[in-house]
Amino acid sequence: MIHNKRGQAELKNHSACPLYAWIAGLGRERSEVGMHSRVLAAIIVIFLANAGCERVVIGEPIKVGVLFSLSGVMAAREASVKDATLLAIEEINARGGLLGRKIEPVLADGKSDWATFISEAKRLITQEKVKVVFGGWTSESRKALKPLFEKYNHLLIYPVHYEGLEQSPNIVYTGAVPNQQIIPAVKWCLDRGWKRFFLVGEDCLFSRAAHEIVRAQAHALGGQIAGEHYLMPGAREAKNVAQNILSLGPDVILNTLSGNASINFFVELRRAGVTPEKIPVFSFNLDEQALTGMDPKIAAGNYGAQNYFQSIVSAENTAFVNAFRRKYGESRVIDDPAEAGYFGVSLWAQAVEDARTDEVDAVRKALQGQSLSAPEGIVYVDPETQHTWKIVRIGVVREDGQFLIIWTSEKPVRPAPYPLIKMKPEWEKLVEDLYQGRAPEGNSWE
Amino acid sequence: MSILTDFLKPKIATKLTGWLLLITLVPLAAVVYLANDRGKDQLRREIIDKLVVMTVERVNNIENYIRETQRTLEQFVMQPSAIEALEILEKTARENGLRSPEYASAEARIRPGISRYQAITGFQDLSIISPEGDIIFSINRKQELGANYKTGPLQDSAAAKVFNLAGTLLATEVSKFEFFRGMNEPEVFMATPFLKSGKMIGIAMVRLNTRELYALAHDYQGLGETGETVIGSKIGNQVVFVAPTRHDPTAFFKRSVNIDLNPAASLVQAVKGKKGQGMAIDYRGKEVLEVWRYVPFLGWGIIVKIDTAEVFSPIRRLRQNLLSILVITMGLTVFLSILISRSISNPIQKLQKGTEIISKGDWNHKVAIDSRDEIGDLSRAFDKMTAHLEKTTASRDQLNAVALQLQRSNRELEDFAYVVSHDLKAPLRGITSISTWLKEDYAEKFDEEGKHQLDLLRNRALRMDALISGILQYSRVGSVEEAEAQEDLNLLVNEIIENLNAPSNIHIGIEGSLPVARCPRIKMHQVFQNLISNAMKFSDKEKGEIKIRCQAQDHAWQFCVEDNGAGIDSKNFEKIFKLFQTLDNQTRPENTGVGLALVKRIIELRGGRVWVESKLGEGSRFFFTWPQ
Repeated sequence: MIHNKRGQAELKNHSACPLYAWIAGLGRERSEVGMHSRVLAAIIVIFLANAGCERVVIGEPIKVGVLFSLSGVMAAREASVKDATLLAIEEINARGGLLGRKIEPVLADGKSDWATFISEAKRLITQEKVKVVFGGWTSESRKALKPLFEKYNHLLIYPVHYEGLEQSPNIVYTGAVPNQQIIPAVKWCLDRGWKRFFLVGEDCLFSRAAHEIVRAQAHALGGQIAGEHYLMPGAREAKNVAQNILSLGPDVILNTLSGNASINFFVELRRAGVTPEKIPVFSFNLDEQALTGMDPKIAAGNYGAQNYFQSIVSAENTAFVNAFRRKYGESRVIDDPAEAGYFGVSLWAQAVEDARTDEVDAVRKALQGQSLSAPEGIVYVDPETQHTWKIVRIGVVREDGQFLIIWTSEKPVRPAPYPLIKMKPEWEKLVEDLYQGRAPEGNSWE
Repeated sequence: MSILTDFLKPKIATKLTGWLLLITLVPLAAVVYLANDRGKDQLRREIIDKLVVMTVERVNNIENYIRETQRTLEQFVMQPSAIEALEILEKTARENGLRSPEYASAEARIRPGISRYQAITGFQDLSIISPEGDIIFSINRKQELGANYKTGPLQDSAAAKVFNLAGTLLATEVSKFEFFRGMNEPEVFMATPFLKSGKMIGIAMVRLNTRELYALAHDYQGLGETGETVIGSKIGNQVVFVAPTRHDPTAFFKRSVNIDLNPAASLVQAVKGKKGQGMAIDYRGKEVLEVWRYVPFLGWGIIVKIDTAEVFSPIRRLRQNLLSILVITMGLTVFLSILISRSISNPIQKLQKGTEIISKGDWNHKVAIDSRDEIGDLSRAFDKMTAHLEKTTASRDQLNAVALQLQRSNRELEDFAYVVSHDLKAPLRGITSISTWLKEDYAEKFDEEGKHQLDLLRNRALRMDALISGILQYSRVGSVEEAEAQEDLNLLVNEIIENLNAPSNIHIGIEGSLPVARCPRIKMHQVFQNLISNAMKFSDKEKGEIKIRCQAQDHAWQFCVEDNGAGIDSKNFEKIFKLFQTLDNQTRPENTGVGLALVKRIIELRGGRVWVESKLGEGSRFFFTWPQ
């Protein structure tokens, strides 16, 4: 089959070559020129056939895995990153694919369940024989996938900002690590004289690790942790937390909650009379997509630290937003992970072109040092950590659910998965404890 | 017009030149094309690949240099002695002031250790700054001691910014690359925080060695005569050349590219984080092959490029050589083809002229081409043929003369025969009449013997008359032309049979049917009459049988007259067709021996043939053919 396809492709290409066609026509049409001319023409054709016509072999499509939760509690949250990833693939195919081949996305459903993420990833790698997997959302899902990708020496491109404190030769991280979101946000607060922090999060790896980092930074710079609370999933403690915050009176609330927990928290805060003017909330998981789940007015005036906001004004971002809306509808919004998923595909594509192969090992190597002008600005894959250099932004929630960007880092910030505040082994031990201490018990990440 | 005719009906020379040119030039042209276009393509690809490797190497060199510096600096701030030094310096500066002898002695104690460290690491300078932003130690810039990065004139400097970043992000940070205040060289700083028990207690800052950075970028090995590296950094809406270039040592901070006006310029692309490669026109207005990359630590764009003039010079030389070979080959080809075609067409023209001369009758003309090849052979064969033709023509002319003479004498003879026979007839008739009269008028006077002699005389005279008539008839066959027409021979032969009035014991009949043939009626009549009456004459059987039949052959009819009469001895087969030859000893005066001779003459004049098959006593078969 492959042979046939290639053969046809070559033939087509020959007829597309004008010189070849002209010489072939010469022998056919001007039959009065006689046998000699035809023989001569044939010789010329043979002589020039290899020389004149570039050989373009249209090969089998390159299969790539796209692994997100298409069902379950996380499906709504992961929809935009999945769609942005598919959009990037579609755009590359529209430009003619890679190495003369189409990219074929193989969509897999993690079902908001880490065990399913593992089995689906394994299926993508071993059965579908994909050349890369774009996917993963929660830190738990990534932690579950990491040993699998290391075992198969494969390649995962992970698009979500996370707690850092991790590094794998088999993962390229296109989302931010704490020094690209949380640490600059804390610095920004300190610069404004906000020194008493209240930390609210949920009992998950991201929140716990992020709080540890904030604690260390605040300690180093003379800040204080006025209070800290982890909301249990689904529990209705938000009201109590709001009261607690009122009584403690911190300068700022750092919020690592996500999804409904975050929405409940904002509702209760507002109900308790906590306004941004009194005690501003700095959120790390509250993005455009999350804001669609609530009335944005409730959160308006509060802060968010991201690398990407849909409201960024740049040619690259305008093109991206327009393409996304054209494909998925005007009402859809783009969040930070969606943008990371989008340029992650482009980085990988650049690496494939540089490596001139889709082989995982070569592409992984070629990914190091790739850079491009993404919707968020310059992104660069750090060769040492395989994390991405990213511009940091701080925005204020607008009443329309978008962000007003009020601060931007001058240049892309180098990713430091292990913040300098502590030594790498200390961080690793911390993460190990947190991860092991929370042995998975079903689908309770939210 | 003549060119067009030449083209449509080319002469040998034109054809030959055309073909030779085609055969020699097509491969040569293909070689030139391959060497030029494909070679150029190939070379471009190779050079680009090489440039990519060199660019990546340069970017990596810069990155590694910075990483190395970073690691060294991070190691420095973690050393307990460094932390202790900071604490002492900070304390004495805070408590006694930077100009106090306490600070001076503390500084003097600490300086050697840090200097040694600076010497080992190759930092250009090393400063220590308090968390409040006061510069409390500097190896090379004593004049800045006491200045503050948070307030005062330095607060907007790159160093102040990187101090602030390192101090609050708690990470090693690299400043932008810029001139500050009367510095004659742009500066880049790296800063990292001192941490003690998780608390930030100060900042260590180094100035990176820009010369070393340039050196890393400006390694021209493998870049030929024209290759160079351009480094740009974004300042405002300009990308400024932040390093001297090979072709313009004064370029740095003088040359720049406007981002808004040249969004597609490779340097602009590079500082925007895009990578790429290709052919472009550089700042000197020269065409170059270039590769551009982004240098993240410094926010630089880097271009490594080389002039296409240099890259493609081997190809150009090759193309020039090939083109001169092409021209020489063309000239040689035309010259050779003219020579060859002359050597072919000259003798042919000579041959043609010779032919014309000979055709006008000059048999003595000799083409005589002195050549050993096929054309020489042809001319010799031609001369031989001429000689041969000459001979043949001569003998043919003689023959013609003889034939004419023969014809004339034949005609004369025929006339003579006619005249003679005609004139002889008159006296003969007289002799016959007189002998009749003698017998009648002098019947009583002649005895029996005399009467018998008179009868003999009269018989001889009659026979003479018959002979003369025969000669007359015979001679007329050749001299009298008769028109031919389609004759139904069945009718003709039946008419003859009827006229002959055969005795009842002889049966004459047509076997099958005879064709309708084109023939002179009278002559055909004579042929059949003679043959049939001959057969009747020699019928000696009780029941005579004469059959006439015809058989169609390819181009002729073959007729046969068969009888069962006396037959003919085979020795006489020839004789019977001769004039005046009879076999029955002139028993009857009318047997003149003319009939068969006449038949033979008629048939042969018409191109036919006559012959006999016979057995004595059994009968004869006379055959003749008549061309259709």
